[in-house]
Amino acid sequence: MTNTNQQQSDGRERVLSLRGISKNFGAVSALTDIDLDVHTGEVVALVGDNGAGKSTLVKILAGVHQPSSGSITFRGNPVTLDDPSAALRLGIATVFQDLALCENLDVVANIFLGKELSPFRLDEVSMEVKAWTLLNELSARIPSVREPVASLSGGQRQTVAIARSLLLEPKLILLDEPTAALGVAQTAEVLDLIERVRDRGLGVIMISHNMEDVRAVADRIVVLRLGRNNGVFDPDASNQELVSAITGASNNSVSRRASRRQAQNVQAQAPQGQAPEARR
Amino acid sequence: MTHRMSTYWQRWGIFLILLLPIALLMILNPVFRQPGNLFNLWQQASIIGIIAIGQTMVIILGGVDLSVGAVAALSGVVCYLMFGLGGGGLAMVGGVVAALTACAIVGALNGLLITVFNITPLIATLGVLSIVRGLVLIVTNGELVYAEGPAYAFSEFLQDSTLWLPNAGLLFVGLAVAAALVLRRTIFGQYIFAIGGNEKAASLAGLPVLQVKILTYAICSMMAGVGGLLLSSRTASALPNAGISYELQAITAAVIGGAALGGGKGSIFGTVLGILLITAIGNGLNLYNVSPFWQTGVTGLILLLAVGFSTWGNREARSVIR
Repeated sequence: MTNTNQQQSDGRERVLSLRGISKNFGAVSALTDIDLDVHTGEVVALVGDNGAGKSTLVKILAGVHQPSSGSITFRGNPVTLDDPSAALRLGIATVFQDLALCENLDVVANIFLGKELSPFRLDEVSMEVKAWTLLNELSARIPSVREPVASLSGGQRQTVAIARSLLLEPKLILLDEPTAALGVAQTAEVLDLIERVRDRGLGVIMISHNMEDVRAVADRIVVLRLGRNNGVFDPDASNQELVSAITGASNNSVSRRASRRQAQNVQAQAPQGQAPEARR
Repeated sequence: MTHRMSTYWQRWGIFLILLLPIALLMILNPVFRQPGNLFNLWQQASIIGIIAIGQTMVIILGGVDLSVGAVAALSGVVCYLMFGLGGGGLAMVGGVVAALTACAIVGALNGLLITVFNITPLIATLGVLSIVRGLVLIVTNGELVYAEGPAYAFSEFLQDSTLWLPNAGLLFVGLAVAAALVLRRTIFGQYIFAIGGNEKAASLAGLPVLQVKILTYAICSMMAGVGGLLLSSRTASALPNAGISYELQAITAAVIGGAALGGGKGSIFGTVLGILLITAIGNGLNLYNVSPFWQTGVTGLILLLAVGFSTWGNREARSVIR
C-alpha cells in the first residue's frame, strides 16, 4: 500500500484536493473525513463495496450534493460546488452511470445539448464538424454523428457521453461505472478511451466494481469503506490486499484462494523423494 | 419482415390504410374530387390543423393538452366580446390580441400546473378544460356572442381568398411552416425534443426545462386560440360550446403523423398529413350522408389504429436493439 495521496505525483499539477469531506443525510453519515488528491494526467479509481460512499463522493464533486463539512481545493483554489453548473463552469465534468443521453436525438445534438454554438438558431454544420473533430481525437468508432443514440451500442453511447463531457475542456472528469453492463469488446473500447482522456492531461476519477478494468487503466486505487478512506493502492497491489481493504475482512474467499495457491507452490517446490506428510 | 420494412410500415402504414378509402372516394365520387370540395376541405382542415400543430409540439415535449377545445371557444368569445365594444379597425386588432393573450395565459397556467405543482399533463389540462369551459359559459350565459361591424370585416377577411387560395388555408400552411422551422432549426425546438426524449438528461445538461415547458404549453394554447378565431369567423359569431372533441382530433392527427405519446418524436409535416386525411375521411362520410355521430366514432377508431401502429413499431425496434 502506498501513500501517494498526499504528495505531488511526478511533479504534475494537483488538480483536485479534498480534505476532511463529510456528508450526512439526517442522522445517517454517508461520508466521514474523506481525503483525496487527483493530479493532471492521472486516473484515480474509486472502489468500495455497495454503500461505501463512492457515488455520494462523486455527486459532491459534480455539485449535486454539498458536503456537510470539509474543504475542496480545485487547481489550488478553495471552491464551493453549489450546483452541477458551478462544477461544469470550474472544469469538473461528470459522466453519470445512466449516461443522461437523449436517445431520440442524434450524436451531434447529444454532444452539444445545452452547449449549442449559437444562441437561437442551430448551427448544424459547425456543430457537426466540431463533433467529428472531437470524436476523431478520441479515435471513437461511431458510424455516423447523425445516427440517433438509440441505435448505438453501449460502448458507443459511453463514448458519446465522454465526448460530451470533454466539450467544455474540463480539467477533471468523473466517470461513474463507465464499463457497467458492457461486453468485452465494448469495455476494451471504453478503457482505451479513458487512457486517451488521461493522455490529454486530464485528471480522471473512475468509480468501478470491476477490478480488471481498474487495474487496466488506474494509476492509483483509492478504497472507501463505510464512508471512510481505507487505503490507497498501486494498481499492481494484490487482489487479497484490495479485497481486504474493500470488505474489511482478512479472511475471505480471495485470501483463502491465495493461501491455497501459495501452499500449492510450496508443495510443487518440495523435493520429489520427500514423504507426503512432509510435503503437506 | 425485415427491421427496415417494419420501420417503414410503422411510419407509413397508417397513412396507407387511410389513403385507401380516400383513393376509393376519388374514384367513386365525382363530387369529392371537384376543386370546390377540395378547396372547402382545405379550409375545414385549417381550424383543427392549426390546433393540431400546437398539440404536436406538446406531445413531442412528452405531454398532452386536453384543454385546446375549450381554449378555442374562449378565444372566440373574448375576441367577439371585444368587438362588441366597438371602435372599428382598432377593435378588430384589440379583439385578436386580447383573445390570444387570454389563451397564452391559460397555456402558461397549464405549464405551471405541470412543472411547478407536478400534476400530470392529463389531469392538469383536464382540470383547466373544465375551468375554461365553465368560465366561458358563465361569461356568455351559455348564449351566442356576436357583434356587428368589425366582426363582419374580420369574418370576411378570414373566409376570403388570396389568388384563389383560402386565407384560412394559407394561415394554416404559414403556421405549419413556422412551427416546423422552430422545431427543426432552432435551439428551442431541439430542447422540446430533448425534454420529450429524456427529461432527466435534459435537466442534467442544464436545459431550462421549466421555461421550455411553460412556453410550449402557452404556444399550444395560442395555436388553439388562432383555431378558435377561424372557427368563429365562419359564422361571424362565437359559440360558448365550440371546439368540443377538438382535442381528440388534434391528438389523432399528431399520432397519425408519427408523434409518440411518450414524447421525443413527431413532426409538423406528419401532423398536417394526418389532419388532411382525417378531414378527407370526414368529408367523404358527409358526402354519403353518414351521421356526424359516426364520424366521431371513426376518429376514435383511427386514433386507436395509429397508437397501435406506434406501440407495435416501438416494440419491434426495442427487440432489434436488444
